[in-house]
Amino acid sequence: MKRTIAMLVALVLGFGLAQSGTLRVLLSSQLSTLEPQNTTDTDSAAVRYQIYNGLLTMTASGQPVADLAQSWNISDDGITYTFTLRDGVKFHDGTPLNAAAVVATFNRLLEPDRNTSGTAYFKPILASVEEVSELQVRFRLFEPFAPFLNTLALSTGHIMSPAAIEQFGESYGEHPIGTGPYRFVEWVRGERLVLERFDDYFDGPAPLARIEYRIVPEASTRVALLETGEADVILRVSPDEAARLADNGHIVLETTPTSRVMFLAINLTRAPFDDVRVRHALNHAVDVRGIIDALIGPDVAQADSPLAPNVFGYASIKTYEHDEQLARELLAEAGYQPGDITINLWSPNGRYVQDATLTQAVAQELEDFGIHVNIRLFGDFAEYLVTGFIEDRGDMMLVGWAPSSLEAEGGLYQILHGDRAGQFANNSGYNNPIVNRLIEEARAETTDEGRIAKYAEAQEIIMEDAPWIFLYAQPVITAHASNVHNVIILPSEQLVLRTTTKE
Amino acid sequence: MYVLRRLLEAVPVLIAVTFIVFVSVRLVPGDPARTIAGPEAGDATVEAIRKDLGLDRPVLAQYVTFMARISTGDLGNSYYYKTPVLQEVLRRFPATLYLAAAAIVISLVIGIGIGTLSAVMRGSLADRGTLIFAIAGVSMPSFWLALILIIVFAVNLGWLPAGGYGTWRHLILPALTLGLFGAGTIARFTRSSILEVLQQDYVRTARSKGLRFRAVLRKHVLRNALIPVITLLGLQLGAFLSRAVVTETVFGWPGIARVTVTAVLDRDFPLIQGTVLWLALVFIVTNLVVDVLYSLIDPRIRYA
Amino acid sequence: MHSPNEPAERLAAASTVATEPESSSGTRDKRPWYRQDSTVRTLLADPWTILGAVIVVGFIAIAILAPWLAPSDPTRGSVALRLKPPSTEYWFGTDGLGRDLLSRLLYGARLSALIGTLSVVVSGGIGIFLGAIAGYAGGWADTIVGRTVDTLLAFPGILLAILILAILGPGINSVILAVGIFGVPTYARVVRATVMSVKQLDFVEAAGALGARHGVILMRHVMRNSWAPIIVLTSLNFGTAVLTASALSFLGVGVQPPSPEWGAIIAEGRQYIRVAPHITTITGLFIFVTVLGFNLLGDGLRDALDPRTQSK
Repeated sequence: MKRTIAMLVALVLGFGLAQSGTLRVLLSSQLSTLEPQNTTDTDSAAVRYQIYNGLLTMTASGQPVADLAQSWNISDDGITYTFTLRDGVKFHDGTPLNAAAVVATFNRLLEPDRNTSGTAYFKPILASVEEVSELQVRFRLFEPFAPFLNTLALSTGHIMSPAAIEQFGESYGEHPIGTGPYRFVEWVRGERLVLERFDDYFDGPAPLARIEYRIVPEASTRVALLETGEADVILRVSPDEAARLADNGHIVLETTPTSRVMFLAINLTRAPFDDVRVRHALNHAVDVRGIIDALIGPDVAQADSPLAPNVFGYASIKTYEHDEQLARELLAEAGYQPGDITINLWSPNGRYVQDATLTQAVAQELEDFGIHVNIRLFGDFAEYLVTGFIEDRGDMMLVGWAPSSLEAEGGLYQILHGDRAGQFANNSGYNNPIVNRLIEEARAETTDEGRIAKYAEAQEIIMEDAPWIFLYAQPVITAHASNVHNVIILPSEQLVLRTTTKE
Repeated sequence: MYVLRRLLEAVPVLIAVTFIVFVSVRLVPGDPARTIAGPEAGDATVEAIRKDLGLDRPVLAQYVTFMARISTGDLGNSYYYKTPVLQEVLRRFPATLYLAAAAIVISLVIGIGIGTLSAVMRGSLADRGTLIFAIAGVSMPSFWLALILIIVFAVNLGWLPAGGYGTWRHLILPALTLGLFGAGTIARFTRSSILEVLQQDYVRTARSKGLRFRAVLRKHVLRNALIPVITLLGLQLGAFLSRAVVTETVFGWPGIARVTVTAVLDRDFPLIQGTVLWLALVFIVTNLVVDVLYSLIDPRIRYA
Repeated sequence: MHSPNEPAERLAAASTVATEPESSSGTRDKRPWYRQDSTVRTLLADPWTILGAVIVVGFIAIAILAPWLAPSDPTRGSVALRLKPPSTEYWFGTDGLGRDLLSRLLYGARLSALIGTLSVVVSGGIGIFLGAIAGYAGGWADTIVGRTVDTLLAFPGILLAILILAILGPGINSVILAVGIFGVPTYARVVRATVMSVKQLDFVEAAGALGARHGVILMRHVMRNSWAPIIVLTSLNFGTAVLTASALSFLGVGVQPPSPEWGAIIAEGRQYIRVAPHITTITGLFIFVTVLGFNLLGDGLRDALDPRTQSK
């Protein structure tokens, strides 16, 4: 009898303890996969960041710092990087982290058939990876690439277990093995995913025993679940809800500026949008400041550059003030009346916070100005990408671009370099040879000042060319219970729970 | 014999359903190969995927393969989840069943209860009330009711969870949303059914013998009056499932009804096919069972 | 599928329409016609039916008069005024883009009226046609139609609608078609039953013998005898059409924002349910009351037109 009672007490206590040691995080959408190389979507990153480590990682202020790599050495010509790995690090499957593992990971990434948004960060720059010794790896680049360390800190660069690669191949994503503070337990697709503390984590066991992720597609339900105490952390809260939650003593709101710039890409291949005066007019016709104030709040700045302020290389250039008179004059110069212009405006719906609302708000402004706007909203983001970037293109398309590397390279190349004109994600078709050259030269620059100077010049030209209606850099709002601490959101919008505790 | 006949009748219906599903899914615009490959993949990759899925073969050949596979239970793999469709369907079906059972219980309890009361108190305000309750139930948008229930019970009062799945408390609001509609119609039906039975000779006889009304009610009336109610349930199944789609979506209930919409939005052909087929099958089988039960319980009953 | 006690079928079977009551004492009935006719009397006696009729008339009125009644342009608003609760200036408040909700709801009524009307036309047109063929032709045509109807019934309504919408793409035309198609079975069944009971009658055979065209006979007698259930069905199906269309828009597969269709308004308003619940609450109420009106009216008509259910 006494033993039974003791057992029961232990059970209840244990259950209670386990309960308090479980963090419940809500995600909004399907996770595509849990392997690092095939995807870059934010929701699965919220899981992957707890399972894996990279050679380097990002701090909350956007600096790349050592993670699995203890130290490194860059050759004078900027082409060779030699990393020394930490000793004694283990994967979740017990195998040791060593140079061979790093090599296996990156060789897999560089496979010719593997072409994803993740590999696109590495393939153009990384020539080879080789093992130098048990704990030393050498990376050779094609050309000097200053942001390489930032790139290694991306989730695509997370290190995978070679034994698991061998065993699972392409289904690695369903049995993810990493070196991170939490290990994978189970995944019921579309519903929940469970992680458990990895006791042999090299930096010491993490504070929480378990992390449970649940998929709840409905934003207001997620907020409600947080309010009723059934969830601990929710991501990407809309500013409207945040305003309402601000008074709730049990909930803490964290607003993090991110590298995500929201803009409306203008299709430069179509008249009248090929005329820069028309594009200037469009920028002046919309009261961006007013929209930001109404949708988010007065603390968010209007975009004055194609880059967000926390991105390396950002330079403050200029904002397009709301001036309808000027807009009309510019249009007249180009030979148009507002009524002559029709814009087919496309936007995703539900992909970015407030995306459809933002688009419609801009459309309203343009309509008030006299331009006729046809809005098309895409509930399915994949469809938006396929229809909008491949099959056809609207006259203007809403895009929210966030370089996770927090580097001007990531913020400019894929969306504004001529090489990518007409492709994902430079769908305005922007191709300015001077800007192209500046971006390429900046890569090879050896000093920070040199790079900053080149990027600044490029940004000036881009602002002047106005291939977009510039909007703003979007902050991300995270909400968590007040008994949860150290929920870290990187400026790349990634969720890091390594040091998170719950009372 | 009747059972056999009904079974045989169901077969061509099933085949027609598979055909319709197959054809309509093929008609959905959008290239599934491209959707799976993603917008960044090269054309070669897309072609490879298309071959892999067998989408480059003539439609008729695809249909034949489709039918052959179905008969072995192979419904293909979901484009989105990458797992076998049958597995996905069977994984979620119990949740919907669970919800449905709870909702039916609520419908029956409230419906029969109110229906009986109003039949007994015929002509009074309560009687009128049933009618209005029934019509209101059918007229209310289920998503609206669901959202209001969430606001009142989950957020403002904090008594019940706002969504999700797990404990009996998660079941209450969705089951209530789903069950209240049926309750009204069942109430009306019960009422008219009881009234009809009350007129019957054997009931009058029982009452004239001096038996108490309540005993009469229990022993004779209810049993016979409830038979048509069973058929009503069968009829309501279609509307029921429609409401389930919305209910599961709003409450985030991990059932199969919700998947039908998400599968369409995801252009997940195999999953759309599998889900619709499965639900149609369930529907046909349930109707069959209800009809058979009905004829078994009372072979005297003729169809109007 | 057999359905005992299905009111529509009962109605079809007893398809005589109430006529002017004969005065047994031989004196003329001096009451105005609407007090004599027992159908109309039943209708008018039931306050709920009257309520339904009032709602329906009101709905049609605002659908027609929306452009004159609406205080603002339903598609334009000012972002600075977004999510305002109901006030004297904006009776129902504003939505997420600062648009006046009242104006949107009024224009939304037009859309619902359009969807309801056209989908009922589709349902009725196809349904009556199929039902007539089945009932009259008998034999294999009946079986085929019967099977078709059964198949359509095998699809829970919303699945069928979603499938159709997936094929046609979202938008108002697709919604009308989708909603229309799944209203077909009810009409088909009713007409089929009527036709079957009618075609036995002598005068039909006689007319046929005299050479009158079958089609003409059919339609004339079908309409004469089943107009009652058809009207009832129309009222009920109108309500269902509005309800289903809004559900589809709510799920994201129907009419798309920024259209002021009621379901689309709720879909958009869903994200603000905590911050500005008036959007979903008031819009939902509109849908509810409208559908309620059509259902009350339909039910009342059914009771009035079916002599067997007239209350004593």
